[in-house]
Amino acid sequence: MSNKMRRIIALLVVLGLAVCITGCNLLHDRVIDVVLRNTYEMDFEEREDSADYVGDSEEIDVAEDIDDALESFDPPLDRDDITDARLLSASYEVTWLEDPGHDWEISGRIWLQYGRDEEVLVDYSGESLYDALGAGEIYADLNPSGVDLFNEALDDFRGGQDPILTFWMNSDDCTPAPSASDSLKFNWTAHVYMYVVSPFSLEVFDIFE
Amino acid sequence: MVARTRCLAVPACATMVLLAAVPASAQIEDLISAYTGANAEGYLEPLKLAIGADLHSALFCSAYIPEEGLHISLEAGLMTVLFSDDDRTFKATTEMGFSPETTVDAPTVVGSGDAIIVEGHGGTAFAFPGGLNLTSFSLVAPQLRIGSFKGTEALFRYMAIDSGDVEVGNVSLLGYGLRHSISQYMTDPPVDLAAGFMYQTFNLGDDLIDATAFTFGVQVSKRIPSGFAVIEPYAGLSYDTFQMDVAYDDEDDDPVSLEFNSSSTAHLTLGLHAQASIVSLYGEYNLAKQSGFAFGMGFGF
Repeated sequence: MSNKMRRIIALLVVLGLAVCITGCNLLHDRVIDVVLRNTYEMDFEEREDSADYVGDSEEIDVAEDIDDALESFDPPLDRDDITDARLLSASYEVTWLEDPGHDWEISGRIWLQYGRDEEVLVDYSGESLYDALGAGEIYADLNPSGVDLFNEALDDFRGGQDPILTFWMNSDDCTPAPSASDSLKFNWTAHVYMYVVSPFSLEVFDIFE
Repeated sequence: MVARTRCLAVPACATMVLLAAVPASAQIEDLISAYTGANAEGYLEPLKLAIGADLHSALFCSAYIPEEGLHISLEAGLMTVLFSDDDRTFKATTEMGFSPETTVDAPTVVGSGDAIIVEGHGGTAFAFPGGLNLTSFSLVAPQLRIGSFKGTEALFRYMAIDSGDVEVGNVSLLGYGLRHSISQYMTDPPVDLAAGFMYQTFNLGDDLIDATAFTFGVQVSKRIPSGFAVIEPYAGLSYDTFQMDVAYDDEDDDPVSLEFNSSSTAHLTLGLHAQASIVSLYGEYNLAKQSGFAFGMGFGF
């Protein structure tokens, strides 16, 4: 290798380093879609003396948790930034059952109310409370009309409103039928999962872009 | 005895570059908080490979180690891996009871910034987050090389930054290793030969990333005087192992802990070192499971 060639190689190394260290625009703007998922949990206590009953209701404030999550970013994200927000799934979980010595099989619906509209979110049929107790979360097949109503509330949230959703269950059949002397007593928790997608701007270090 | 210089560093600059080079821990946490389990591992896999590859680079730029005498050099290596298209997506499966369960090609942490939306039953949908859209990932490692005792030198890497800034998070790097000259036992060797090992730990954020790297191998180089400078082609063959754990809170603030499988790879280094007076520069290519480049500079005596 000639001295001239060696000097050229050395010079190229030096130039390469200089370009990489000082000459490049090392920081680059990025806009990435972050996904925020939120879980709403509602606890219900059912104390019934008949097969046909309507349980107590629970409300969720759609905006409360999502606004907190959006504000946790630096800089904070805004509702106007959200590009998509929808219901993801829902589940129910029997957390306590007073055991009268026999199982209960219940059928009915989980309802959702938003504004003046009411829709069925979940239809359940022949659900054994013995089987459900301790089974953890049981993901439900969701009724499209109930999903649409939930998503409508999310759209209104994106539009600046503060939607309040109300949930309750009703039973239209129970075997055996509860009575004053053989009451149906159990607790259950509803889990409703949704997500929000929002663009987020940041700078990243990328030499070779 | 030959006074030697090696790769030079300016610690202040290195600190700044290191801060910029590491994706902010808060950003990564924001992105992966939507994930648990296998999806989180797939999402972060390219970052794991990149950190491992970077830590195993720029550990030497010569196989020449004097037999005796005090030699100290302060160095900095800029280690970079380039991501391929395969690194940009992974097979992600819907979670949280979403129906129907669906597997798609979703962005990894270095992939596209666009979210992937999967439509489900009854109007439900599932969203996979975007990535940081990186073409490369770089680290700067300031290091101190001290020798020589019976042809042996020690190498230390150290960096501890408590930025106090939630956007960056804390960064720490600690490494130490030894190299020993093999060619000192040869009579008039045509090239210099050395062998050694290096152990490093790397932490980002509050336990977000906790990684350890270990490598051992052999190096060869040939010093070619050239006017005012010495040109020195070098090569190395090593065996690298890397382990990374990740811990974060998911969106329900439940702790998630991921322990990635330890990865091992053979590693070939090919580089060129140029030294003039007290300053030296080098560039190298590292061929391994995750290949990359490294550049470095240093000065010393």
